[in-house]
Amino acid sequence: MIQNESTMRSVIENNDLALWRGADGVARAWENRCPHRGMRLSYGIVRKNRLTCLYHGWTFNGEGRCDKIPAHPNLDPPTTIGAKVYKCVEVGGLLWVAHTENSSEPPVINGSWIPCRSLHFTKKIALSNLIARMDADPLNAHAQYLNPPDGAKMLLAVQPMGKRGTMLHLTLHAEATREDHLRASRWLIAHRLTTEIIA
Amino acid sequence: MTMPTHLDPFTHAQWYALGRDEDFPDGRKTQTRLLSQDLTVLRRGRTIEVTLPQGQPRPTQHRYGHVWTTFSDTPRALYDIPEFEEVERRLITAGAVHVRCSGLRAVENFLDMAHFPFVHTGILGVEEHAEVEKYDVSMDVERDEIWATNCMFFQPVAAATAKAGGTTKYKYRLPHPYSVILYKTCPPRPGEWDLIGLFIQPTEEDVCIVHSFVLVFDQDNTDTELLHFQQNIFLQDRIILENQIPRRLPLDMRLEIPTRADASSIAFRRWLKANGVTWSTVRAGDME
Ligand code: FES
Ligand SMILES: [Fe+2]
Repeated sequence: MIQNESTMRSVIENNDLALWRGADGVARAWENRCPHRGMRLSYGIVRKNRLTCLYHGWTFNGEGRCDKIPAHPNLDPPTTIGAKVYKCVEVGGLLWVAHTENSSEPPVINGSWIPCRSLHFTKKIALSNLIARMDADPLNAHAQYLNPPDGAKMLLAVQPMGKRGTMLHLTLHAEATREDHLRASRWLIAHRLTTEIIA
Repeated sequence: MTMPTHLDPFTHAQWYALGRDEDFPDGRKTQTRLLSQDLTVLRRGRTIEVTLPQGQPRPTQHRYGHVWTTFSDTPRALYDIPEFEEVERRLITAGAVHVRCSGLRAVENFLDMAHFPFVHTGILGVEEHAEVEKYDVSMDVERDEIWATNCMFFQPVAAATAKAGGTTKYKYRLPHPYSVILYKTCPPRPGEWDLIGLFIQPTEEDVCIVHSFVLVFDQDNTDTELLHFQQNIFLQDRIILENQIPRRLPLDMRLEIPTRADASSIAFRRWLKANGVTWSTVRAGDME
């Protein structure tokens, strides 16, 4: 969860990412490396819809373009200076990120979904093993819809983080009750117990 | 002795500080690392022995409050700091700080004024005065070192001795790939300079130990006050140093975009390149 006007660090495989949301509520995903001296942009400060790097205050607009270099207040930064921006869309209660060169379409998910639980696994997790005995339909290579016999429809997404393991994100359809959320959350925690401790 | 793959002759030829006498307990062996190799340090009184794992001794010298060694049999001479001979100055050493970054990144950060308003907010700079005026960078060809001079910066509290804000004048000296000395105007003695410097011990390509000193005329502050001022500043820098990507220093100018304020860092990177430095730098294929 990223609040408005805040940043967060995330990792996909070996890509270090800065995720941030402006006052406009729009989520952005950038390479976590300031083009000036490589500082992680996830340490930056968001004011309105711009991100300021912690190291020397270079400031980037919502599209990633650098429009302020405080060491040279009278200089208009060249338009070529910018952060590396990834594709980023928010659907199904999740952020979906891809390289700009990646031509695949963002997932289409109907209805409104509420985040339930995100859990870290120290290992690489294959979604197919996790849901082997469940009624599931794939959404794409990284996510499955799950239809538990006793509760609301769930959406389970996997975020591979290379040597850092895996994050699993679970969201529930907006109609889900508080009990559904508790049950779904317990189900994911039980899975972690099985994969991390027993296995 | 087997050399690590990326160790270049220039890096190999330097003398390196390993710590102060008091960092090595008398009569007891201390293990340390330098350029990805193990070293054992044994102090008996004022005598220091530095040995490789198979017991071969390496030369040592005591200078500038620290113990130095080298892996080279034909080392590049350790540079002179004439100010260490001025008897009225006080030397304060801070002891070892471990940092997960290239030692070259730590040198570059120390050279940099543009970060003061953002990293040392309210102490060494304020956001309303973030401008870096043009300064001069020159090569001392004879000694093969870099100087940045005529540096000016607005500071609310420039030093432990400063009671009010004002423009502070600086000079920077780079006599060694892992040493950097800052000269700053000295409030109690106009016309004189206080020195603050780093002697970096590169343990691995992306890990280093920073040894630092303050050499000042200050009579008002205790050693502890001066030390706390420096330590506080350095802890703020460490957050930066441990979060720069990549951890090794890129020498290829296309990887990071400099501006005029970075003139000293540009000169430093060029100088490293001209001296064939590859250790602790970004190499082809690293950024994929
Ligand atoms: S590293 Fe980001 S502004 Fe310098
Ligand atoms: Fe600093």
